[in-house]
Amino acid sequence: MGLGRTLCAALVGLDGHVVEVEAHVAPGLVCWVVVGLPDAGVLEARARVRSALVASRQAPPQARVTVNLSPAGVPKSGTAFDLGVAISVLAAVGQVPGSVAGVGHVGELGLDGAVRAVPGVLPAVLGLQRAGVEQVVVPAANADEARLVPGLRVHGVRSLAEAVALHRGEPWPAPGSDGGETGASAVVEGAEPGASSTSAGHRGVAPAVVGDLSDVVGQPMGRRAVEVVAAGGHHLLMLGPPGAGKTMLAARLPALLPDLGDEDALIATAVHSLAGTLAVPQLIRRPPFESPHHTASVSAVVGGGTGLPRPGAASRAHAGVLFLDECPEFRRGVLDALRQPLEQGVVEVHRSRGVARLPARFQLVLAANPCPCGKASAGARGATCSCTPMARRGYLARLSGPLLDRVDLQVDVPAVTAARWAQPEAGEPTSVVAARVAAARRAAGRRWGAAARTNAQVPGSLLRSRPHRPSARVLAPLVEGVDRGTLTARGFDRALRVAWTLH
Amino acid sequence: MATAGAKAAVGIFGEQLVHDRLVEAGWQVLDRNWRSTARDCPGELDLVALDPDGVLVVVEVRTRRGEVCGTALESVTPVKLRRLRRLFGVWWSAQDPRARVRHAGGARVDVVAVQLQRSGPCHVTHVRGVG
Repeated sequence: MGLGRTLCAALVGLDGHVVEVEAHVAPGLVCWVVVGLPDAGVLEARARVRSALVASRQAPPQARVTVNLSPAGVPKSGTAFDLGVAISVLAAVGQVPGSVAGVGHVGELGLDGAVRAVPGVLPAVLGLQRAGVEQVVVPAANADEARLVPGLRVHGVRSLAEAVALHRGEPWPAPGSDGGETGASAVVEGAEPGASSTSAGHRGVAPAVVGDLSDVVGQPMGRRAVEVVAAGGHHLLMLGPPGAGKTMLAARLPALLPDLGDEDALIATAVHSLAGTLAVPQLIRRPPFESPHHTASVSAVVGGGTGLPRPGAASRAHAGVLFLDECPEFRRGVLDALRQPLEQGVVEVHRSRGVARLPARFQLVLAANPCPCGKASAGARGATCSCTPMARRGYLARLSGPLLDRVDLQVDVPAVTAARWAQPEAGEPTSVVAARVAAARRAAGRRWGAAARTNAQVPGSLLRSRPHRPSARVLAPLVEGVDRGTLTARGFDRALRVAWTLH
Repeated sequence: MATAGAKAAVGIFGEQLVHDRLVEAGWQVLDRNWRSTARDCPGELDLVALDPDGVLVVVEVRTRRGEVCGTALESVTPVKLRRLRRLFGVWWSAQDPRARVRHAGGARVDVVAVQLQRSGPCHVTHVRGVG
């Protein structure tokens, strides 16, 4: 009978907050009370923990158990608190030493005492590490993911019995000696490779198997545009008829981008861990590519959902490319919801219980047909367009002005002519262009120093101040544009940024 | 499977054991196996007693042989507690008004769990003031 403590982590957006789990076991009728702003999933921990204790040969206390999750102000949801609750209760009854008070626990319990994998282990463990925790116990299936966080001792456990043995300093229950637990861990082991292979099949998180840039026929402008946006980190809009190669160009953009830096890689991996789309438990080093379908809802793209906000496509594309094909077909609300992440690099999901901030600094690539039938384009081929002038005008008007103002580069991708098709020589392959992109990025890094890593990120004030301010003669067309109202102040800065990349 | 008679015997054994222990400890038993005749509140109180401090206590005895169907203490649910309190009210109103004055020292409900062992002495857990 007494008090037990241990640590868990609650996720608010991508921020892991340390939560202290206190368990008080007091004389009284058998009854489990969980307080501290738990949601339904956390409350269910009572049932799972009791059964898991029985399955692990630990008698549940015949007394009144009060579990407090503190700070009580942070909303807690999900099943990752199970392991912490179980360990704190065992600490309260003296079954594990009090030293567990400084150890972080993340994991869901099965009724058979198995410790199951949970989403968002990486951000949770990251939060614990930043708070100074040195040791964490996580599900064995998530251990590799947790080990990505530097400076931590990570213990992967397959069952509650293993966690208890670990804290007691006893040898781990040998597999095969005990029916209940080995069965459980075998299930976890068996499920792990299967789950990762299916998720890898569905989601191209690391676009390893996209074609080469040399596959794209013709489109010198399109190629150049893709190279420029890759070098400068700019946003791109491609306009052209169906079949011109817009989607091909966009899909080849990530391959042109350099590998992610340590911090970006960790954040991107954390986002995918939270979203449950982490195919293999290792750092995402290649820029992710997300192309949501145009029927996607606002919360599917920018993130949301009840309770724990889930990262949307914009966050999953963090440090990578967000490609919106047929962008005028997207619901207007979806497109306009992208304005905040485009400017600030974060998505704020507001809920009555608080604000979740998710990183969403992506490179936006939009593709659109010039009209609903897709045949209107520059040149004689536009004659075949069957759309009414009204429909044609209304189509691109669906892209709101404020959104287009945030897109740095607009380029026409006309239909490929038969003559181009017949030309035998292929364009430059990805490797050649990627090398040029890397060189351009190095140059930009030298130019801006600590202020920005790519031209697209340079603050406007730096852009307009010496020694980077171009001469008045060079600026004249832009100044005139702002005066006439054809160019906004933001557009002015963006034009300068693209100019630096072209330079 | 235990027969109905065997189950009743287990309960009677537990109640007798608890009764003897409480008397030994200086409790004054007022009623044993008191049955309510109220139509809206049927049921039975195992023991009604005065503890050594003069507090009126309703004692519910739970006896279990194994833990397959949950432990003795776990079997006391909030619904059962509510019924005990209501039964206590019925018992109280059935008392002689003059006797009531003597019981002014307060009242509470205790649960005593008796866990029988296959061999050797049984475990008795007395939980005071459960509701």
